[in-house]
Amino acid sequence: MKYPTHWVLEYAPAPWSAEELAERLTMSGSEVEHMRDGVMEVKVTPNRGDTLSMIGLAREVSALSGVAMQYPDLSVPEWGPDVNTLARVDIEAPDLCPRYAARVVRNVKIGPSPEWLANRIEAAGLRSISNVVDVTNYVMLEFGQPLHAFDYALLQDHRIIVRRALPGETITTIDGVERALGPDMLVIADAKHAVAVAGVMGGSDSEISDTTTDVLLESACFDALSVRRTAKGLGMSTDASYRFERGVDPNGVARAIDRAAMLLAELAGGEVAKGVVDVYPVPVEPWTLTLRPARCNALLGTEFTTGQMVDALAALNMAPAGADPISVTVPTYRPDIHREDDLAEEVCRMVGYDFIPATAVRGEHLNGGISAWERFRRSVHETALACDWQEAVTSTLVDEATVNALGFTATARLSNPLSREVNVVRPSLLPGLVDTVRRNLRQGRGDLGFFEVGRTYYVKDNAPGEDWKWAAAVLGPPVTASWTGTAAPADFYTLKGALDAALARLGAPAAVYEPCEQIGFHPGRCAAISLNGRPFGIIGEVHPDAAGKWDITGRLILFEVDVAALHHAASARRFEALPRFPTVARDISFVVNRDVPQERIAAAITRGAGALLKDLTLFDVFRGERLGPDVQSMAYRLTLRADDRTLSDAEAVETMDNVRAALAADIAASFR
Amino acid sequence: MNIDQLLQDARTRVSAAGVSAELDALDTELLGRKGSITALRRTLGQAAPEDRPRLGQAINDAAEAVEALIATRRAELVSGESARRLEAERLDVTMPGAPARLGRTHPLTATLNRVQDIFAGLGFEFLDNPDLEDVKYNFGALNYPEDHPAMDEQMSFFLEGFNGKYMLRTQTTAFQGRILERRKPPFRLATIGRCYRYEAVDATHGHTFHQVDCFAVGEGINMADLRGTLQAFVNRMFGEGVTVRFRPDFFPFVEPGAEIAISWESEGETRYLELGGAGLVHPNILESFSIDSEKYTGFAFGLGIERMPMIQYNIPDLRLFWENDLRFLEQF
Repeated sequence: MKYPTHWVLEYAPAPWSAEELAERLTMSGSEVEHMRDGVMEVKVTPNRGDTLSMIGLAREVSALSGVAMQYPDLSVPEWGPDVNTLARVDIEAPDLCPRYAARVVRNVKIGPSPEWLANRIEAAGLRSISNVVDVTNYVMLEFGQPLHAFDYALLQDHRIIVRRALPGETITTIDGVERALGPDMLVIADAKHAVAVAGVMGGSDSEISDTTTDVLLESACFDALSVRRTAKGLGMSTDASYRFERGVDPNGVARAIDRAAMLLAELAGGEVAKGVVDVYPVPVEPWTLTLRPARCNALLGTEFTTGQMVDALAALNMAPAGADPISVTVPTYRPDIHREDDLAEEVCRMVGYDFIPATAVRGEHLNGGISAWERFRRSVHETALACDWQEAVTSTLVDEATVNALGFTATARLSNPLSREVNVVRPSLLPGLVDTVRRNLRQGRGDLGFFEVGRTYYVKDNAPGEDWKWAAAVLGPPVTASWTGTAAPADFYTLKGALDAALARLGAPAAVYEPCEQIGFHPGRCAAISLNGRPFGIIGEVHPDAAGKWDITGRLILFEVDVAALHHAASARRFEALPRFPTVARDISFVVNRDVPQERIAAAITRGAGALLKDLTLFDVFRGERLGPDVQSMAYRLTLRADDRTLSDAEAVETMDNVRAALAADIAASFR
Repeated sequence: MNIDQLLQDARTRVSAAGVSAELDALDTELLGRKGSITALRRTLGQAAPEDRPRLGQAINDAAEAVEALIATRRAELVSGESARRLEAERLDVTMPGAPARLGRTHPLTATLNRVQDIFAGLGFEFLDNPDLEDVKYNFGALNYPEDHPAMDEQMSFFLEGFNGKYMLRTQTTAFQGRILERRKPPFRLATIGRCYRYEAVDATHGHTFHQVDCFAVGEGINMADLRGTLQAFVNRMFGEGVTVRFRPDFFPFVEPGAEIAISWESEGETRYLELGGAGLVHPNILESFSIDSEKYTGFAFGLGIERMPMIQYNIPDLRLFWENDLRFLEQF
């Protein structure tokens, strides 16, 4: 809210410069965001509706500076008949309207406001409209009490009825919009129909116009939650609703209406009828609280004296009495104060938060730290760095089209997305990584390797859930030419090799790859990965059509695996004694049908070699005319070793015979 | 050939040998089984018996001398050959190295890890908590009155299909209720991660950002402990010259409440940066979980993460963190 400093200082003339004023207010909780042309923009916290006015903020200045408050003159020159003969007020919904006061001012002359008044409300950010409307706004800015002025002549039977809206009831508000009212919305009605949405906006039917002569002034208190829901329901927020939502003091109602009547008499030549119609069935009384000085210091960690506490509470108009405990009476404009802890804060903000010392947390020893699960996630991250990939941090909210284009389904969707580009919660990290690749390709970059370790989201069994995933995206061919030669472009096997090495480093067993098809992936270059027989992830090359659509040239290879499954499968590290006996290397080559998966060949060799086989490496695959169209030659190196002896040549020969037999039997390999 | 001649001849020829192979041939010719020295030894039988010891000694001396000559020359040749080879292998060290791609950590992750490590060192135990959060934890358990204007600062995304029950958490503080349901004080807990607010993206706002929240409850914990914890964090994170500034602020879940800013001197000016909100855990919250608020008190604070690398590296625009542009990422 905007506060012209001179207006505030009129009620609490503290001997401060503008900078000092701003600093003191900021450091006591009313943050002055900036000051321009003598006007402060203050960020009022939602608990301090009482400071949403010049007098409200002046009370803070008075408390901080010790200067006494100087309230405006409230003597109303009354004239003519008793107001009760002119108007009647009935509150039919006392739960939503604790107090309603009305005055009638007759024979006003509608015209422009005097310059000083127009300038003040405009400096505070409102528009000057006419003397009558401006007076209601002026008093709202001054006291924080929203007011409304009705054209008295246009109120059917001169009656005010505060009630809930009737079924199907509508109102055209003064902004010219016809609005349908809901059954929980509170309205001000005359004998016939709604003339205002209570606490939000008046109706155009009874609006002040150039021809208005008599005015009915409303100063009322409405339930904060009801006003908030009504304003939200109607999609409106007004200066009045903003204040009611944050709480308006029912005991300030009368002051404000007197002030407005006085100003109307003065500035619009009005005759104020005698008295106020004031319906206030259950007056709100100030409440008492106690503050134990020792508790106050225990909460704050300070050594404030009882005297300091009493002074602070007195400055805040809380009438402290006694020493231990200190008894206080809370003024009704401070509904935010209802516990001892609230008083401790009041004391502290008056004395100064700077007096809070800095100490170590007291209490017994507690084990802090990072969980094993989180440490594992970090080791996944480190392993990915060791693969020479750049970490990306991509958005949780993604475009559903990209998600679907990669064959994923977003089950966690937003009911109120910011835009169609960020309308679902990511079910996979891959859309973000693909986007990262595209972005960098557009910058002319090549030789890309990205990874992310992050959460993915789903909805299952009627509840949301989250998984941690590790994904990578690698793009070949490298475009960074070098005089030292150019590395081979990354392909499916590059990424698979990196993943397998990473799994080994993380202590996981070997993963199993099975061909699979997924939308967005190359149908012949995509595998479902499992670990310990459980689904683990996917690896594959992006379908050239999809890549083309995203302007990706070259082969983009992706994988995504589940980090929790990895953590579960990874075994604790144990030292194994280094082998004492030498290894023997033996090569074997054979011809086999091309459609035999390598996995089966390796299994046959492993079966044949038995326990002596320590390592198996495929080092050559050859296809050629001479071999025939359906077959290929494969060459493996076996590393053999016995743990308890030096392997004899005869044993090695025997092992290789067994391997050949197994290959012939299991996969119909032929040898030459 | 007499011994002197032989030695003379050997000296000339050994020193003239230009490559190792030549020297090998000389070695054979002079010292081999059919070599000159061996031939000389064979003549020893023809000498007078009284001369034999002297002659024998002379031949042995000559053999040793020739061996030494050859060894010396061989060493010379080897070192020369090696020098030539090394010379031939000389590189232009100013040529560019082969391109290398390094794995790098994203600056946000680096910051998250650092923040976490500091608070872990201060005795906080880190917990994982969900991003897709029940509204009751994000607001209800945090002492937000129903439909309160305080929620206006936390415009939220809601999950479709749940009638407003689930949202994307707007604050990591949402973890408090989950803790209080199953843990009793004393505890010193923390969580770190993504938060979301329904806000248009610009240089200083994003719909997604990161926070760290710490939550300590025990006997006698107070505002000074809060300040001390933050001061320790700030010194480790930003350096010794940086101080914590507290200012009264309002959050429904704390009382008293404070805004945390840090201040430091830069070019003769005091600069401030808001880091987040803090305060003593509101007694209403403790009581709603049947914790005696007279006996136990606690503090809670939440800090925005993005501002830390922004100030540390002078990064002007929040969006850079999410764009993953290598020209940005490669600077860290």
